[in-house]
Amino acid sequence: MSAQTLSEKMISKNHMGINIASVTVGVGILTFPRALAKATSGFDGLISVVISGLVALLIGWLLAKLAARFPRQTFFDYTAIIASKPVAYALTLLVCLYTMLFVSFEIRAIGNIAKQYLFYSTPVEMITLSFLLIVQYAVAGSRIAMLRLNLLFLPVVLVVIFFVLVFTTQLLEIENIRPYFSSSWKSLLEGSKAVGLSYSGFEIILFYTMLMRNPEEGPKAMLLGLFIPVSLYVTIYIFVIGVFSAEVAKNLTYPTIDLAKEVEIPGGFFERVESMFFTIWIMTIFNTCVMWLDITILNLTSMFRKVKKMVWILALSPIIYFVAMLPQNLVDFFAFADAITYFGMIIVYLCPICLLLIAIMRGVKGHE
Amino acid sequence: MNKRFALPTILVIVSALLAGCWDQVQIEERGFVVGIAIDAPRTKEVEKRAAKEAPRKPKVKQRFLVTHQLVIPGGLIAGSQGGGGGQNTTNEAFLNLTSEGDSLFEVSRELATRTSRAPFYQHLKVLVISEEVARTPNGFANAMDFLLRDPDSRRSGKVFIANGLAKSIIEVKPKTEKLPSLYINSIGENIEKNARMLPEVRIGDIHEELLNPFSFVIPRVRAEKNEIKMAGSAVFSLYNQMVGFLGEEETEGLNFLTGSIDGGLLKAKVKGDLVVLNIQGTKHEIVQDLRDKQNFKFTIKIECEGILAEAYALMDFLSKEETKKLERAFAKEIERMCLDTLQKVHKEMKVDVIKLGSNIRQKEYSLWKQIQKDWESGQRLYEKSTIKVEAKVYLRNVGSINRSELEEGR
Repeated sequence: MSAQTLSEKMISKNHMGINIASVTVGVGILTFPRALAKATSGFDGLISVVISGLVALLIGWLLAKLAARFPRQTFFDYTAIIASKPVAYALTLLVCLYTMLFVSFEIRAIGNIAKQYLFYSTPVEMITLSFLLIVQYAVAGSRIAMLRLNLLFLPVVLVVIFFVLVFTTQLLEIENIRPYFSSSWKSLLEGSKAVGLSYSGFEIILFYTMLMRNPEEGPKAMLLGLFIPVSLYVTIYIFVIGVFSAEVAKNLTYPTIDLAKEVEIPGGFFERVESMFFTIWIMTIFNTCVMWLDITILNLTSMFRKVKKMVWILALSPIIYFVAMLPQNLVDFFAFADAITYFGMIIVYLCPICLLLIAIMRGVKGHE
Repeated sequence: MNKRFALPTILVIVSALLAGCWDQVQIEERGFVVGIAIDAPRTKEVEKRAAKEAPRKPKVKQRFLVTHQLVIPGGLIAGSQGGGGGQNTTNEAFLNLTSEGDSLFEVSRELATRTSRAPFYQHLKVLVISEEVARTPNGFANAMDFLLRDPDSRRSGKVFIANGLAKSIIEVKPKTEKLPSLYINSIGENIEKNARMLPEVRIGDIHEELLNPFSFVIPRVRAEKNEIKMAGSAVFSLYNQMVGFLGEEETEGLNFLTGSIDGGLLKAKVKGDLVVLNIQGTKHEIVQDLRDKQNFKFTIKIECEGILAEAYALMDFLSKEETKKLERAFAKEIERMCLDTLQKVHKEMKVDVIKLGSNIRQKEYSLWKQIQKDWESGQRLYEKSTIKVEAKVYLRNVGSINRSELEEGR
């Protein structure tokens, strides 16, 4: 036995994959069938899911390659090596802004949806605040232990979703799914763009590779990490279309929630399956949210080494909470989500890929 | 952390979190709505009174008379008598509250002024809409919007159209069940026993039908003194407006045409006497010939299997020829019934409730894109198409006996 405790142990390839899957499955899982059904004509949307999954995999692979070049170094460190310190400061700060906005978005999503379906008269502010407090608590502890929660939660999430889907099979109607393959390429690409927003999150590989036992296994972890959401989205999408038809899916605010609400198991406790669905969904959002906040703190402490972690948590929380309260209604909220994702595309996809190119051209490599 | 801060922090958090639960509702305070009936108002009195109170309030043309059926849990317990200290004095398990308004939400909130239990829609089982409301333009869709939009309600309640007053449907006092709504709900589940009932239509299905450019049907119910009868169907045009009823026989024909029969019976005449088939399953296929746009040809092939349930005709049911004869007689009867239904929905009402359009959409999507606007409206290609029916019956079994009576006995 090594002297290391569990909380100090490096993470393995599969654990990294689970982390990626946990962070990717978030708010998007509830809304993507609507966006997808709107863009494509029904069933074909699943091609879009796969296309954008492949694009995500390609980007993720590049990001993993970049991170693997610099084992045990933070994002800030290797950006500084590749493209000078000032650039590293600027880029890392922007990344912090992005991840912070993401935390705001997730906690607001919890507030909105919990208010709509669970707490009709509790103010959104209160729901959001209590969720944020729990997220703070999780981030305050050991990083590896926090990531270990993903290993605990994700199987539960997948099992419950599977359970919900099994019980909706009796409502599937084949005429809702047909016709197959009737959309044009343009609409499929449009759909890919729409569902692409639900894949954001895999960029955590940029920051967490430093915790991996074998950083060169990053690309493989990415494969596992994206395989889970892609197959999950494909299944959910087929079920949403099969149960509701494309026309209805377009007109449901949260198609996946309504899918869970359709299920009725006669007798007692499990009659209302959506309560279980909400529980596990909040678990996934919790994971996502905790990881984003942790990455924010991770990047900030890598830049300003003297400031303690706890200080950052306490300083950032009010800002995160304030930003989360900014969107005034559902339309604002969705626009906010899209804006973050587009911002993220530049900051955490485009810039790191450029960094990778520069690193390859200049032949820069990290030291083991 | 500093001990100085610990106590104040805990106090703040505790006061915020333990102050109370905003959403606490005791189960005794919930008014479980199990059934809703939507009618058009009989008189204009309420409207006038409302107009007098607030003359400049926004108004629409249409008003609804909505009856909510709430459960009184005490009444559900068998043998519990009124005097036992409960609120229940009449020993009835339900309470019907009728209110009028031009929005369903308004009516729902108005109930809060009249009952101690605020309405709670998660257990809604039955929604009955009167013919009168369904026949007004957009009336049906307007009546459905609240229940579809409300995050509190579910899409699984069953929807019926009342022949006459919807209110009287949920007011029947059945002998077998305590709650009229549950009684109606259970009747809706007997589709396997009778082919004359339309398969259940759920609130979620209605949303689908309202959004899709097709005509559709909803089961019809009629109230009698202590019971209801669920047979026949209400036909809605693609504009979501009710255009008429189909009778019981026509509904059976429609069920054959759409392939939604799981069980039921089929009567035919052989040698001048009745034979009855107990249907055990059907198969259904639509063959389409879409070469000529002005004259689409559809052949609906129906295969039906069953066992002999009753026979007055005197024949040897175990012989091969006689069985063939019987099967032909049953097949002919199916064809007759389907053609009667077609006569009505295709030639008279001109609505595509057999979902032939949906069939084209599923199989020939590019063609459908072109003719979508000209199917039931525009050039009316549906009306111009030819529909044929071919039925085939398989008699699997003749029951426990061959003959019940000999020829000489008559």
